[in-house]
Amino acid sequence: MPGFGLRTLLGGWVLWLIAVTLGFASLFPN
Amino acid sequence: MTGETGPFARRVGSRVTTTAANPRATASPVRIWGLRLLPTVFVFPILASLVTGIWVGPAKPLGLIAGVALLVLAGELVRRGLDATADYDSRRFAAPPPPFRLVGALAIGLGFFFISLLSTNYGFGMSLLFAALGTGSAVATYGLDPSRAKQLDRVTSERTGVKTEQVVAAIREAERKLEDIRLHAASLANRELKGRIDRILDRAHGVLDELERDPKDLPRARRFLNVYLDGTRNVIRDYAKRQQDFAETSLAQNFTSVLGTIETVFEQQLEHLKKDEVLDLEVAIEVLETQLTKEGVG
Repeated sequence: MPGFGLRTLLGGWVLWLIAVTLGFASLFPN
Repeated sequence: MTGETGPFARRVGSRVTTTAANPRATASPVRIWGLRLLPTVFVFPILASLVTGIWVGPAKPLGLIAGVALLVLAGELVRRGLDATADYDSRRFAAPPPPFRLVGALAIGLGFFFISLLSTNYGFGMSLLFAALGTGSAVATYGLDPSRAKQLDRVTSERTGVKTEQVVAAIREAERKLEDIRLHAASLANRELKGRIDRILDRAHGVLDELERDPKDLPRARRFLNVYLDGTRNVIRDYAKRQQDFAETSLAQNFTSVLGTIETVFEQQLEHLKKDEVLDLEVAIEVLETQLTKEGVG
């Protein structure tokens, strides 16, 4: 079943949020 | 269903492949790209850290590279988990797949942990939090793999004397042979033969589905499958090897008619199984052997 439910979207969003946060934090350490 | 070739495609000759090429399901590829693209976020930070690493030391680029490697690995694991689960779901009997998705989710957490701890100014505590959040949301997004084996229920097993492993083994073996047949058929130039093989594969998959549904006929049907699938494979293999020599000859015609017989017998077998009986095996096998000898193609 191609599941794009709320959980999928929310989980995916958190994954990307963390990744982008870490990416920025490593580029601009302060 | 994959590899469906419509009547139009068949007529104009574009890609006449088997309709039964790969009837087992694979997972939808769309969802996985959200994870596959995730490491690209760190491409620029890695490049920048490699440059600055000359002055500040190697910890930062190492953390990023290790983290990205883990994220790439996680993407692969989660994809395998989704595929394995789709296959598991499509079967009536199956062992549970290895916990690919759980390991993938843990790899995501560990990847975030390395990046956070070694490449940013977040401390140990925050890094642990990122790891936990990463693993948690990966599980929320992609789920976990099934852990229960799908077995014959005890009553059926005792009534028929057939064990789940026997069903699984017989079906897998037959599927391997069908795949062999499909591969040999791919090298054929004769479109009529290909169409015929397509239909044989379809029927054969139908027989396997029936056997999975009601395995009590397995012991007898298994011998039928062995004889017929081996026979079909050998005929097609030999023909594929020498097809240039006897295109347009009467021998080519004989192949077509042997395959026609095989197709009919599979059709009959399928009908019989649906009616809860097994085709008279000895007759079916004799039919094949007689025809192979008669047509000089065996």
